[in-house]
Amino acid sequence: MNLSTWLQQQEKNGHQAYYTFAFIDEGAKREIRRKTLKAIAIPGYQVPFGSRDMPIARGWGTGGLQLTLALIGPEDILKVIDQGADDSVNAVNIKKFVSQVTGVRLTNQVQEATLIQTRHRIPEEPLREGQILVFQVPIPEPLRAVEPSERETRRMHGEADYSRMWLHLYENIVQFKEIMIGSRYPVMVHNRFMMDPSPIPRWDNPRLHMAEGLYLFGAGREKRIYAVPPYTSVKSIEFEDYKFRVEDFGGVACSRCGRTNTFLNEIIDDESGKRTFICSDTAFCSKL
Amino acid sequence: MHSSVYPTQKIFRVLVEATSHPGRGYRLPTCRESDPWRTSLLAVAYTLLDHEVAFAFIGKNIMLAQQVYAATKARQVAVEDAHYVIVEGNQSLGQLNNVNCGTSAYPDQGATIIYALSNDGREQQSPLTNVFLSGPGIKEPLNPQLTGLSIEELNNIHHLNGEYPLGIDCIFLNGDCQVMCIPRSTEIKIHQDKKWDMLP
Repeated sequence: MNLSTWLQQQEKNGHQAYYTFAFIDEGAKREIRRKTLKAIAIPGYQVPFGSRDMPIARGWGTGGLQLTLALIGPEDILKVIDQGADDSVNAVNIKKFVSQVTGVRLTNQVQEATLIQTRHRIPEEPLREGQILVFQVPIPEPLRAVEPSERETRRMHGEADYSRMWLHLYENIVQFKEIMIGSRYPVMVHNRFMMDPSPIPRWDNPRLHMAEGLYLFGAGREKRIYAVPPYTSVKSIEFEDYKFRVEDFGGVACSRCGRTNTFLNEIIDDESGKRTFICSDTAFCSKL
Repeated sequence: MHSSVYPTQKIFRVLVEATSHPGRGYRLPTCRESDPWRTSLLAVAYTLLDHEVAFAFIGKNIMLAQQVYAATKARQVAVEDAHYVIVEGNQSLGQLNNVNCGTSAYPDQGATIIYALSNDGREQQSPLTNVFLSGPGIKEPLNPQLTGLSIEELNNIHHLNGEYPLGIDCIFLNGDCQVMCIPRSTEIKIHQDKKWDMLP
């Protein structure tokens, strides 16, 4: 039985719906709200929070969903994207769920949305002041690749001791003559905390720097919230002689809209083996 | 769905905006013009406090502390143990010296200070033009837009936030139903005698 069927049955039987506005209870929302304000006050720092069980499995965007539900109000207009697409499974399911438990209006347009939940992309169109972008984060700890202990990474963040990450980058260069981090490329926020920007491509990293909108990151499984407020310095880590660089598509254009200045997905036809490229941000691609 | 949950959501969104843009004044949606001082404080307290956190009260109006407890069921404790410290007026009179500023591993444990500025004529009634704020959320250095602030208290906050990321985050509420935030990431500079002085 799905949620709407259950709700209809409850109403038919004269019972009230036993969930509050935006599904999670007010006590849980209050805790998420307290932690969200702390996250904004300390840009890039991971604030622990009591992640609740949600009607989707952990690892499928529960952190982002909890943030969205704690933020959303009846007047909001919501957009949800998954790898840039408005119509993929994760985005559609989250949209349907939030719409059912809040009744908010949905949109595909960035400029129209007041709240955007995203999995692994930043929309191509820049956000304006007042808009909030909520990221779904699988692994919030940028140092996890170099240090398995949570206690030790806490110490490292506390002391701003990021030497092991720099060494990791150096070893990459020695071995491959290139920094081999595709997505989740670490950034320094406000020149103090190293932050995992979630698995966005390198292409999106520069868009975190001095943005006009607010970026919130929620990791449900790992129980962490962090934030990048507007007009905040966010710099991808790099060496003087090995600079950070974004993906290079070699001048290939989107086969649908013809743009050459967007992040592209490579599509391989199973039968012919032909390779085509289309914009990852489907709403932006359709807006011509 | 209960309509009573909407006000706290609206207040929270105003607090998110205010924390994201330190120094700017925002209007609190549920504040009553007839009793702005009490209603704005209780609205923010009801949005953020509950039985899971503790608060301290600095001021003479004990009734207000009791009203906060009645509305939120948050425990009233000493300043050093408090997650939230409510200050009546614009001066903590040195009582914030013992406030919890968090630890290097958990800086988020630093307290949040809520100033209920009364606008009763004893306080500065125009924005402080010699105080400049900069840092995350601020595009160009700006003066705090709220009236009723005290330079001495801003100086005190600056000292408490001297070892960023340790520190305190401040929410200011005034008698015009306005709210303004100064999180610990905001740098406070005071312009004195026509020359720039970085506070020690």
